[in-house]
Amino acid sequence: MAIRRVLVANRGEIAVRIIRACRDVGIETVAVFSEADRDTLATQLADKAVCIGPVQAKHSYLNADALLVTALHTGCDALHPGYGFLAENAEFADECARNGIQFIGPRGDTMRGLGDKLPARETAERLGIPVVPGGTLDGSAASAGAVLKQIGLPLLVKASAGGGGRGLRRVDDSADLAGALAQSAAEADAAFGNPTLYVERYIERGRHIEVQIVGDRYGNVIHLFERDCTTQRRYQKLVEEAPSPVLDDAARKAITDSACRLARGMGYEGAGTVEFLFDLDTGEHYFIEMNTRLQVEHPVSELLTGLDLVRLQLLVASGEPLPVSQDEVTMSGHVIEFRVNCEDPGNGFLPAAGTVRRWRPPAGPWVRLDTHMEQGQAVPPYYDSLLAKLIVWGDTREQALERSRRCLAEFAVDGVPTTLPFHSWLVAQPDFIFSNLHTTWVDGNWKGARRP
Amino acid sequence: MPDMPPELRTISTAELAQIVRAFADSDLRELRLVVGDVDLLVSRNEQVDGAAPARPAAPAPAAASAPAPAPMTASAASAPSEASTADGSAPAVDRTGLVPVHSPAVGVFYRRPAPDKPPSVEVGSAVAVGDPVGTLEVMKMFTTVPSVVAGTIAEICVEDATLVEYQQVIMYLSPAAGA
Repeated sequence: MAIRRVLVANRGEIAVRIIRACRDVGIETVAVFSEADRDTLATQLADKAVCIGPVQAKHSYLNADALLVTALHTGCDALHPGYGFLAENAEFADECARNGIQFIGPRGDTMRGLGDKLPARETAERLGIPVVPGGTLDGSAASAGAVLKQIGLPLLVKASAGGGGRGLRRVDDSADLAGALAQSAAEADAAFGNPTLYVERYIERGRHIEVQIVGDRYGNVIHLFERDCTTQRRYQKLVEEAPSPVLDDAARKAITDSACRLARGMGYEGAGTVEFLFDLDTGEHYFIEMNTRLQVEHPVSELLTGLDLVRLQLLVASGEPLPVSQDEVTMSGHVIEFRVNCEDPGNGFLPAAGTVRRWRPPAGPWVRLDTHMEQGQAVPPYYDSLLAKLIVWGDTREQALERSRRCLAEFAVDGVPTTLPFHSWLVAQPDFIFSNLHTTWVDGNWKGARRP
Repeated sequence: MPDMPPELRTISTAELAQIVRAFADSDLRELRLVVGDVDLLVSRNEQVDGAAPARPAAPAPAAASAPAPAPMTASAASAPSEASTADGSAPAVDRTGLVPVHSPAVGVFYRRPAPDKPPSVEVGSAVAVGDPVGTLEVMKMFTTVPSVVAGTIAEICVEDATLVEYQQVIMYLSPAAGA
């Protein structure tokens, strides 16, 4: 491989994952760490480790200059950003390129075209990929009538200029529309100085389904099928599985075709994920956004297909063509991943910190655990709360569930709260067992979803 | 955490760094903290008032010294880090009474302010507080590394034009009497 030494610009389990993939193909690694992460698995496993700053992420893991000076002066020819931090920062990708460091991810201009939701939506529409029906309006009742006819009810009114729930309003009855638009426009104007509204069809029962793709610099794109990430709490994914229990072969082909068309249209290089909302009532899929990085839940696709996604990233970043064609990518069995976060699921999933006094992970056939934790390890309060990902494979979904129940019962962690009690409850719920849930199901059914 | 088993009644290096930082930000003159096996004494006083720690393990005499968690980096440098060779790799050297100068950032350390200038200091050079002892470059941005105390340069720990870690010890000073 052309790449010989990689700077791993991340921490925690994903840093460990990247170091291992590099070691497997004979690439050396340089780990970087903040003062909070000196004694961690990634710094121990890497060929070299360099302290780049204090505990605050903005002075360490988000400090582009510190990462670049370290990469340049430790002889690295590539940099893997992992996920989060600078992984989707187009300027940083450009800065790496300018300094002769291969950024392991798509080019900066690709990220710019997909980074903001509105331009991404326009790109998708241009390429003929379905998006949630909707459009912008000025708040007048006249334009509202036309939009309503096009979108149908129920619909969602949003402020074009911002987020955070300001101006967000659901409309079920056409009689309420004019009033809702006026109120939302006033709120949007007050909050963002811009009364422009965006309305779109409200999908009552949706599943979050995303497609893993990888592209090389010769225009080849493959997909590794879908992941179903419907079990989430306020858009935070908790469990991911593949294949999706709600897709038939025709729907699977339609959604993976859409993802590959977008990636080809963008000349996408590297690993990425195209996210869709799948409407359970109509069977239609709608593009939401594209994540231009390796995702937390990538192991689900790895166990489903037998392909190593980080290895593929290293290959295409080295300028090699994809080693497999779409026909050679096959899926087998069923995979479920559980995110073990340092959060209190009984108290609104409030993030916690502390020291892990006991760490007894599960094991056994077809069980994978991606983690950086061990007994006595500190969980610092400064970063993302992910401690481990438990990934379980089964010949069928039923078998994967049986194995998951056994693993979750074996998994013992003391000293800090974790999401394990939530997962143990989830795998016993008929709605999860029979895949009858949708994206807001956890918020309505888990008693600890909100803070008391 | 009173319910902890005895073998775990300790402080992590990260927690230690937080404590030292909190002390640096406070108006306290001296702080002594005993948790399990850890006996930490941090003091701004020249004469340490608190009972001396039983073991010299915590190189607490960061006395007078910087607010940075100095003792940490000196003792807890990660094993695979070549960049840390300055720290603790020469246990035979007695550095009692010496004050370390730490790198304020990760970057390339130069002994000269410019390629055509002589080194800022040599072993034996006398410096006042704030005098430049070297130059740090981070992606074409050059900053001066100042001395934290008045005294003479006792030891220079890093080669010219090499990468230094955040808080790595660059050199040791022998503080002037009364400094």
